[in-house]
Amino acid sequence: MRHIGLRIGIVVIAVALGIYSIIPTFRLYTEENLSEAAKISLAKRAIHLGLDLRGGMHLVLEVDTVDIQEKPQDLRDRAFEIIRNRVDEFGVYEPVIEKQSGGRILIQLPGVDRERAVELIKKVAHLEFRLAADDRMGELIDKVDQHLQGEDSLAFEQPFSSYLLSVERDAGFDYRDEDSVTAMIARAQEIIPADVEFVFGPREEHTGREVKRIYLLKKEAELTGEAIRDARHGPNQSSNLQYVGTWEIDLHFKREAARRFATITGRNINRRLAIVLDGVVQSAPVITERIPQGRASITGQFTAEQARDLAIVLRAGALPAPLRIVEERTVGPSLGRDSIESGIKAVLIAGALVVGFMLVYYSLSGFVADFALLLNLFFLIAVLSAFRGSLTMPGIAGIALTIGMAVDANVLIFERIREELKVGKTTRTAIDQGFARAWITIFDSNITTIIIGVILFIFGSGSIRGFALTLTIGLLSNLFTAVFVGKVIFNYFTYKFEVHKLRI
Amino acid sequence: MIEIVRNPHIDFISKRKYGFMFSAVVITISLLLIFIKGPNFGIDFTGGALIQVRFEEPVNTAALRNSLARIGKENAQIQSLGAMKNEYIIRAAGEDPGGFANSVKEILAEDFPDNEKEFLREETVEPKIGKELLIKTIWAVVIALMLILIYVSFRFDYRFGTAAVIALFHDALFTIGVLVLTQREFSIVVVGAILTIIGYSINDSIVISDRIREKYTKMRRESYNVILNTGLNETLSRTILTVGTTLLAVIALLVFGGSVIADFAFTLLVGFIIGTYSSIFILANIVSVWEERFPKKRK
Repeated sequence: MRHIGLRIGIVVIAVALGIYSIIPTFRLYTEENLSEAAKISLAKRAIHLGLDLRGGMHLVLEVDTVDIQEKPQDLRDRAFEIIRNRVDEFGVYEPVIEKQSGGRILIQLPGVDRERAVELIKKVAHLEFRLAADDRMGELIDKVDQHLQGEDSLAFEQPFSSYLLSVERDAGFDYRDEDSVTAMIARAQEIIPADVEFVFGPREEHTGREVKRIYLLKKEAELTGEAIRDARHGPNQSSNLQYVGTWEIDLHFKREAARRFATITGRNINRRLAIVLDGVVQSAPVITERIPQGRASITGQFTAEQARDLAIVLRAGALPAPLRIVEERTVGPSLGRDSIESGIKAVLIAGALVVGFMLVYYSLSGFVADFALLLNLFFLIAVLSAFRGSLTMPGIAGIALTIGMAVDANVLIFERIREELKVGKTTRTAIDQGFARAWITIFDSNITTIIIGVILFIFGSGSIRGFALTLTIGLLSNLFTAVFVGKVIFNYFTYKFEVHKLRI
Repeated sequence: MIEIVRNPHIDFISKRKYGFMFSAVVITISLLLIFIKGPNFGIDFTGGALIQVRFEEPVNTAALRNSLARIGKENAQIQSLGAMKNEYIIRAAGEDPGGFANSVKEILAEDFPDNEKEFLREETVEPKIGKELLIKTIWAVVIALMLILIYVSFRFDYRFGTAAVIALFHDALFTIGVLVLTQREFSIVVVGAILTIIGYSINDSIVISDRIREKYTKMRRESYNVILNTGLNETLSRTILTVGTTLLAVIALLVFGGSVIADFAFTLLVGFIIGTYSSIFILANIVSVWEERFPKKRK
C-alpha cells in the first residue's frame, strides 16, 4: 500500500510521455490534407513504415574493382558521394544510403519505379567529347576487308563491309549483327591505327529495321564529364525531323573547359565532334562554327524522363567504377498495402481473442490484465515513435506475438494470487505476495527472450530486425505494465473499495 | 472461478519413459530428414532470385512450368499462394541471379498476353551474400545460445541448466524437422522464428525450474520425484494458459497475416507446441533420471 499516490503519479507521467510521443505518428497516418512541409516535420518524429509495407526497393551495391588500382574502400567512398547526389536529385521521399562493410553501399528507396532507379544508380555516366575521323573511315573499312580476306581464304568478298548499311549519312549495321561486327573488328585490331577506334551508337530504328550506327573516333577525349558545370534537360530545339518531340540535355562547361571547347571547335570546323556516354555515341554533330559560350547539348531519342535522369547523373558526376547489384529486394506497393491490411487484421484478431479469453477466465481481474495489455501496446507504439523506429511486416508479427506472450506475466501473477487465496490468505496479502513471488519468475523468463531479441537485432538483417525491435520493446514495456501498473490498479481498488472477495 | 485444471496431481515422472520414447523417435526422424533431405534453403542463403506475381485470371502451375522451361528455368520452384490459383512465387536458387526476374517477366508477358499481371515482389541475392548471411546467422545463433547458457547456469542449478538446453535443442530440431518435412522455405525470417522458439522454450523451462527450486526448499522430506511432480502440477495451469494465449496470437497471424508472414507463423506454431511439450515431459524427466543415477546430497 506504500506510496500509492507516487506510483499512480509515475503511471500518469509515463502515459503522458507516451501520448506526447505518439501524437506525430497518429497525425501523420490519420490526418488527411497535410501539407508537404507538415508531413516532413511529422515524419521526423513518427514511426516509419518499412519498405515491405510501403513498397520500394532495397539495393546493396558493390564496386567492381576489376583492373582498377585504387583501394576498394576509396572507390566505394567516391561512388557513395556520387550516388547520394544522384538520389537526392532524383527526389525520393526519405531515401536511405549507407556505407556497409566490405566496400558496399546500401540504398533503400521507398516507392520508386524499379527499372528507372536501377538505371539511375548504376549508370557510370562517363562522358567524353571525341573527334570523329570520318576522312579515314572509308579507307580503313577497305583495309579491314582485305585483312580479313587475307587471313581466311574461305571468307566472302568484303566480309566486313557487307554487314554495313547506310543510316542517313552514317554507316551502320543491323543490331542483330553486333556480335559478328565486334568479332571482326577484334580480329582486324592489328591494322587499325592506334589513335582511333570504332565506336557504336545506340539501337535505333531506321527505315523499318533496328540498327546501330558505327563511327570511327579518335581515342583521346577532347573533354570529359569533369568539364561539366551544369546539365539541364529541355525539349529538343533542332529542326531535324528525327528529333521532333524528343528531349535533350544542355550542358554548361566550367570556365577552363569552356575555353578549351572554344579552341577545339574553332580548330575543327566542318569536322564532327562525337558525344560518347559510357562507350556509346549519343550524337556526332558537325561543328559549324567556333563555340565560345561554353555550351553544348546532347541530342538523341530521349524521352523527358530519360533526359532528366541523364542530366542528373551528369551533374552528379561519373562513378569511379561500375557497380554491381549483389542484393536486391523490391516490393510492389500493392503487396505492401496487402501486408499492412492483413497485419493489422491479425493483430486485432489476436488482441480480441486474448482480451476476451482473459476476461472469461479471470473475470473482473481479467480487466486489469486487459488494461495492462492495451497499455503495453500503447507504450510499444510510443517507444517506436520516440525512436523513429521502423515498422516492418515481421515487426507487426512481433506485436502480435507480444500480445500472446505478454499476458504470461499476468497469468503468472494471477495464478500465484489464486494459490495464495486458496491457502486462506486475505485479499491484500494474497495480492502482495502473488506479485512479489511472480516477479522473480517473470523477470527470469522475460530476460531470455529479450536476450534473443537483442541478438536478432544486432545480427539480423533487414526486416527481421523489425521483429526483434517490436518483440523486445513489447516485452520490456510489459514488465512495467503487467507488474507495476497491474499492482497499482489492484492496490488502488482493494484499498478504496475494501474488497473482501477478489474475483480472479 | 474457471479453472483449466483443478488441483492437478498428474504423475508425470512415472510416465517419463513414454516421453523419452516419443522424443527419441521424433528427434531421430527429424535428424534423418535434416541430414538426408535437407532444409529447403531460401535464396537468402543460397543466393538466387525470386519473383512474386499476381495474375488477373487464374493460371495453372503446369502452364507456368512450361513457360519457365522455355527460358531454361525448368528447375525453378513454383509456389502457389492462396486458393485463387492466381498468385505465385517463382524462385530460382544458385548462380546467375542477374537476369532471372527480367526473363521471367518477358516470358510471362509473351505466354499470358491477355492476363493482366502485377509483380508484387522481386528479390535477387548473389550467392556470395547468401553465404555471408549464413555465416552471420550461425554466429547469431551461437552467441544467443551461449548467452542463454551463461544466464541459465548462473541462475540455476547446472542440472536444470543442462536439461533446459537439451529441451531447447529438442525443440529446435523438431521444428526444423517439420520444416524439412513440409518443405517450407528456410529463410532468414524462419531462423528468427526458431530463435524465438528457443527463447520461449527457455522461458517455459525457467518458470518450471523456478517452481521446482522453490518446492525443493519447502518439501525437504519428500522424495525428489514428488517435488518434481508438484512443481510441474502447480505450474500446469499457467503452462496451458500461456501457451494457449500465445497460440491464439500465432494462429491469428497464420490465418490472417498474409503470405509474407505465413512461414514465420507456421514455424512459431510448431515450435511453441513442441516447446510446451518438452518443458513438461523432457526437462523435469532429465533432472529426475540424473537425480536417480547421481543423487545430490541434501543439506
